[in-house]
Amino acid sequence: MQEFTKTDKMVHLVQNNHSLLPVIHRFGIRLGFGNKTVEELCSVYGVNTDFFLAIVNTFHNKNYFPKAQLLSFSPLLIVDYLKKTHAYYVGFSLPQIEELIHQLLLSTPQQNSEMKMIETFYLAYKRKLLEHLKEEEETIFPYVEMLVLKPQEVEHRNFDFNFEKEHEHVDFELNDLKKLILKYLVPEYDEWVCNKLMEEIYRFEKDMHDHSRMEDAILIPHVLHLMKTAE
Amino acid sequence: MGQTVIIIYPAELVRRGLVSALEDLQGARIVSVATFTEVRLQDYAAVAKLLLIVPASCECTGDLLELRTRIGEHLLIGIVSNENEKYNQDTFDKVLPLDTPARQLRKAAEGFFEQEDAALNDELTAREKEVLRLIALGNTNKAIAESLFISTHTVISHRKNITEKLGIKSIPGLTVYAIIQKIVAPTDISADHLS
Repeated sequence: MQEFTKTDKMVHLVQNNHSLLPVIHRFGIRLGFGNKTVEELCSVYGVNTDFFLAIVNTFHNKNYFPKAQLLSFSPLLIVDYLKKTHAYYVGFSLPQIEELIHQLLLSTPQQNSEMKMIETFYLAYKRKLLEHLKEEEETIFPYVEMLVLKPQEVEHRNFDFNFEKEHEHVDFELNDLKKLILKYLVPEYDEWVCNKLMEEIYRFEKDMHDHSRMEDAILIPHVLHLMKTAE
Repeated sequence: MGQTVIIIYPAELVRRGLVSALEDLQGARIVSVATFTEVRLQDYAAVAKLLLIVPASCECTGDLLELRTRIGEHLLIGIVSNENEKYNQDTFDKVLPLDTPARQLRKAAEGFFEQEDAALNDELTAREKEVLRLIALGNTNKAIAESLFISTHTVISHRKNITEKLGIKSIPGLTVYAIIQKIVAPTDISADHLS
């Protein structure tokens, strides 16, 4: 699979893979690309071009993960990107999926308690995920920022960086949600809503996967390294 | 423990007849006793397939039903000794008159033991459904092992099979599956089981 470079036109990225649009938006880069290249637009929006490309290419190609390069960027850039990803999940993906599940259930003639469990399952999943995101935002991210900006003020704290396990958990449940809908939904439902829901779930799953990989393979090693140097 | 036949019948002669009719049946172990009280439930917890033969009019229906919920796959045959005998048809999978030819009884038993192993397809076995039900109700492996009289190790292996067959890994996911499949009632599940 191809790797985008700084001389590529930004519009070319989206034409090639429309699911990159939310990622581009996360960097604050807006449509109206004109014929500008990645490098030109990054400079207009004050975005680190190399970091932008590393993230975009990682997202675009699941086999591409330039770990060494990603580790070379400031943890602040990474935290900033992760925060924006969280905001996208909290503000868009999660409520969107919730709404679509609700609509899907309303469209089934048998709005029985069994089918309703799918919605209950999702709501419980969402609640847990939000808790996890909140924990990262309230403890890990500020901690990383402190380590970088004011390492002398950081008290030695022992963090439990067992995110991989949590991420795996969250992964399982999203996958179970898909299975439950695909295998056990009653056959009478609104197919448009269903198509849209499934698309959104798959998109979200991919995004989350990318996000977790960034946290587990980049952010956590960063923090551990910073903690060592702070000692 | 694989396949077991339990014959519970007060008349010794009938028991002997049944035993000889079912001898050497695919390596199934045969237990023959006069009354239900001689059967210790926990001894049969690990049985994969159980054929149970009792008098159709026996007064142990409640105990039988309990035994059935504990055993994976089972076939319950009631024996009717005379035409006027009163019994509850629903309790049994099959009701046979006492004078059923031995050959016919053996055939019924063979048919049951030969049934394709349910593990070969994606359907859960009765035992796995039972384990799933207990998972959905929020039980730990240890609690499940205790209530089914099996080892924790066996519970874990059941769980592994369930997960592989269904492709559902999380406990909340399994719980929802159990509800959709009506293995448990939604009202039995408290909301925090899903979290």
